[in-house]
Amino acid sequence: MEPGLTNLFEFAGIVSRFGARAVADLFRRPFEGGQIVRQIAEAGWNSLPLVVASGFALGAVMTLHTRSTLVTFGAASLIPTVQALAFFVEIGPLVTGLLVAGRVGSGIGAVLANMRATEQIDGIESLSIDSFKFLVVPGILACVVVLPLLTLFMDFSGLLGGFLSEHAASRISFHLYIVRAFSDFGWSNFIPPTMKTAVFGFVIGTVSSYFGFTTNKGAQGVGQAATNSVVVSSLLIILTDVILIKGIFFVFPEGAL
Amino acid sequence: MKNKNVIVGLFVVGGLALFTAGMFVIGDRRQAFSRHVEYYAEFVNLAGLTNGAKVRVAGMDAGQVLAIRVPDSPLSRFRVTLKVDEKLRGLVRTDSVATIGTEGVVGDTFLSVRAGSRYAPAAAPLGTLRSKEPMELSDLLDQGTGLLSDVDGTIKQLGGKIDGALTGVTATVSNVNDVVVGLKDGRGTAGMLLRDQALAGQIRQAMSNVNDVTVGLKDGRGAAGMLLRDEALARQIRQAVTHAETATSDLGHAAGQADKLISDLQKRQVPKKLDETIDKVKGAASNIEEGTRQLKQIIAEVAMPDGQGMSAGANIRESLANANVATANIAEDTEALKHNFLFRGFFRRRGYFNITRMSPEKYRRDRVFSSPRNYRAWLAGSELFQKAENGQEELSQQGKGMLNAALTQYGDTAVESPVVIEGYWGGDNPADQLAFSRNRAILVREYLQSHFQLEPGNLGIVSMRNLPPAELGHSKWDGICIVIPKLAL
Repeated sequence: MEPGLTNLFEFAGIVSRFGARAVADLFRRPFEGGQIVRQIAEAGWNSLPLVVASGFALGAVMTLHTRSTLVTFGAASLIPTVQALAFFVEIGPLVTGLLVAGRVGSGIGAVLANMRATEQIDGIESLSIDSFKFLVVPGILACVVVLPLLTLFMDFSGLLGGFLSEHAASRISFHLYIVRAFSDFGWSNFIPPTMKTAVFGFVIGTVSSYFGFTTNKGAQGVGQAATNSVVVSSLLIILTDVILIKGIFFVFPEGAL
Repeated sequence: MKNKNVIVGLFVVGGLALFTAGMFVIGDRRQAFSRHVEYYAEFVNLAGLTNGAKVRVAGMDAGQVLAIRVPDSPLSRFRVTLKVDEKLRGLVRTDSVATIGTEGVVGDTFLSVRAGSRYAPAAAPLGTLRSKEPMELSDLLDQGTGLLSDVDGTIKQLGGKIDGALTGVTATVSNVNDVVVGLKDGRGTAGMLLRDQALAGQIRQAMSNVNDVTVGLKDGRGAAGMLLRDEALARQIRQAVTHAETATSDLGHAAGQADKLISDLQKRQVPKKLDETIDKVKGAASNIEEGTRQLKQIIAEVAMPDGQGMSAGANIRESLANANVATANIAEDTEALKHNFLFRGFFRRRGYFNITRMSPEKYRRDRVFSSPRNYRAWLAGSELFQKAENGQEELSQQGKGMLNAALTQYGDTAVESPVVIEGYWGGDNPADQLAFSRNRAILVREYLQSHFQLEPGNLGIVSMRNLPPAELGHSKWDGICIVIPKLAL
């Protein structure tokens, strides 16, 4: 087998074991409640302005674009439907995943790598605290919890942005916009796409923690860990998205029309 | 730390609030949180209708399609279960018609239920609505193409006829032209008249000859002149006139004889008798007139407006309308009572229940259906059915005749009352018994429904395998038994 291919499989194996260990440790005492709350505040609350602002802008831009196309076909009344469907089904979850990978993933990678380089992790270990359980598990759990919630904020701010942009163009009322936006919505357009971001969260948390936790190159390793965290987790999010969408279509066939 | 907890709490609660909002908006659109009534509708062609498709009552979103049961043979139809928001239930009547529609050319298909009429009773929950087969776009296009080709043919025919007419007109015009040119050149008689100087001279001479003849006549020359001038001839004419006078006096004599004949007739009083008869007829006519007048008066009295100034016709109409509404209300109340657990038992005993929800075992033991007083027609399977080309059973011509005879025996009553079709299969295999006895009952139901236009709700089928209810004189049966329960007759 090619050495590069072997390395790839080796990396996949190590990261998978890393993730599996985190899942197993989650159900073992002591539960690091304080750490989890701190991480959720860091990953969730602090990402909120970024997510809401990008959602709002994306919603407005999307409406402007779809408007010019749909008006050509005389289907201007479909604008809210198209915009809401696109946002809730794909754009919201994916963009939130990528944004969080950039902001939170790089943070987790850099912090852990820095702690490793400055031997803080060894210090924690010397206090007979399980450093993996104390540092890695709360980070991953926070990502899993935070991502679906951030996605909802992204979806609804996108809807608001879309409404304001459409209101400026056609003076549509808010009520009519909402009615039209959800006129063709099924449960499969809302719940599975939102919940799938929990998987994105797990990917971001695991990959970033892995790069930060296992670096051993001193100060140079900090930068590398941060970069790798963002690049690999973004790539993996898009790949898992493909698999997850296929899975959702399998469970909810009416969503695949 | 406390500050962090508040932040996390805010974040999580905010996210969950958005999630709940999303659930409610979508749930509201799909009407997941309101109360519903279920109905059925049957279609031969679904035209792409799917589970979860929208249902509209009188154009308003009212619910969705819950389930679609696929038919097991081309004889039966797709059975669609639909749920309708309780608020719109009042619009769904027994004469409401369900159709499958499409939103625009590229839109979704949906089930549309037309609002029924005021006097029809409300459709019972779980009842089968009437349905109209959908018109598919491809059918429309086919019709359009046919129409266009017809129009094309007509235009072509018309074009040919106009062409012929134009050729005729052109020929006529050119003929006229020829004639005019001929006239101008002095050809033919008329042309000669116009152009020939010699002819004019001859005509002038002829005129002078005529003048000469007239002068000769005046002078008594020739035979005609003699008539005008000869005395002897005048005498002869006078004699002829005398003869004519004699003939006239003879005629006068004949007239006197005719007079005598008429006076003889008068003596026999024929005119008087005729007069009397006419008098009698006059009297009878006046009697009839009197009778008619009295009748008119009676009708006018009856039709006179009542205390509130309402005419009798309007009164009768309103009474009928009131009776109709009252009947509808009673039907609705009875339907509600049937589902009330206090009265359910009573209605069960009376036989008001849905036969599709009854097992054959229960049916056999049921007092209403197993009653020996019911009208039953036992029809043998060997005579009713024949094997079709595909190996399945189908109704034979003889069988159809037997069914017609069995049903028409009870005349109009059978058309209005519930009819239960029991299917039996004489074989030993239990699976065959179940399948084929049911198939037979379905075949007969399809036939009766389409042939007599019976209400689908009035026809129930039961697959009885091979065992009829006890004490009816048949321990086993192979065929069909048509039952009209006694309470209905």
